[in-house]
Amino acid sequence: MIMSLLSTANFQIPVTPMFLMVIFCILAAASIIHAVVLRYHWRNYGNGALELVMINLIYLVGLGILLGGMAIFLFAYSISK
Amino acid sequence: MIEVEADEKIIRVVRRHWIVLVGDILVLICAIAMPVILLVALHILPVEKIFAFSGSTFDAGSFFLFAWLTVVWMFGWNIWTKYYLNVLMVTDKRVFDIDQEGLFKRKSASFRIDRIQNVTVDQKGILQTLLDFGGIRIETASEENFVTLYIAHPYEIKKLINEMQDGTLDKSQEVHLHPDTLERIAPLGDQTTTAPSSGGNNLMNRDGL
Repeated sequence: MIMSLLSTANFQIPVTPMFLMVIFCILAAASIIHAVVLRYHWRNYGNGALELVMINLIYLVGLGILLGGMAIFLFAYSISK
Repeated sequence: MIEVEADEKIIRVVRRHWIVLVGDILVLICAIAMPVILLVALHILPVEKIFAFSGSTFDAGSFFLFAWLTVVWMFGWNIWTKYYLNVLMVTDKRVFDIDQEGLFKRKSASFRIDRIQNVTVDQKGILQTLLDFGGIRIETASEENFVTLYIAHPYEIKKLINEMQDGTLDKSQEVHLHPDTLERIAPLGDQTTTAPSSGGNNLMNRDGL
């Protein structure tokens, strides 16, 4: 039922590099705000300075890898045909 | 930092038992597995009829995979922050009950150890008994009671709070019998009695007992 509806649908979502760029920007902005809020919590309500450093390191490195991965594939998609 | 005074010593920080994280971890595992499920669905659903890719499908798919994992990463850290910052902290003066219910919802209560009237442990069921976790209710001199659920090793915490309470009460009683204090006030009592050797007897003699 759903499959037949989808196959007969006469609309297409264009996945352009600009579309991916918009998603990337939204996610990057959201992750920066999230990081600020999270750091505020760990700095003010955490139990120690060492803990804050560890949390920052793990969180920010992980986030960097994920955003970096997104950026690489966005670039690869924009140059591929 | 938690609002602990400079001369206050943190004795123990207790968190909820790890079992409370199991549900959230399962949700996270499902979220991580979602792209795999989606990958299977892509072969079934006519995706190319819905999406028009201008470049490599692999690159677009990888981009969306990383985007999804970024969302899961942030979600996971929310869970961990809520778990880790939700604590019951015992210091040498007070007990702090901090409820981190969300990133923008936090409740922090503290009460003096010498004001505690009763500590009750509530352990229900085979799981709580075997894994040694449960609720702890602390009744204070005021009408408000503090309840923390799913605390790890609740009986140990109860014992610790009771010991701290006994220590605080003993200390508060010692102030009146301390020899230094007695030496300072002794000249006032010399008119009626001779100064004996021990502090405790000193008070008794001055009072003529």
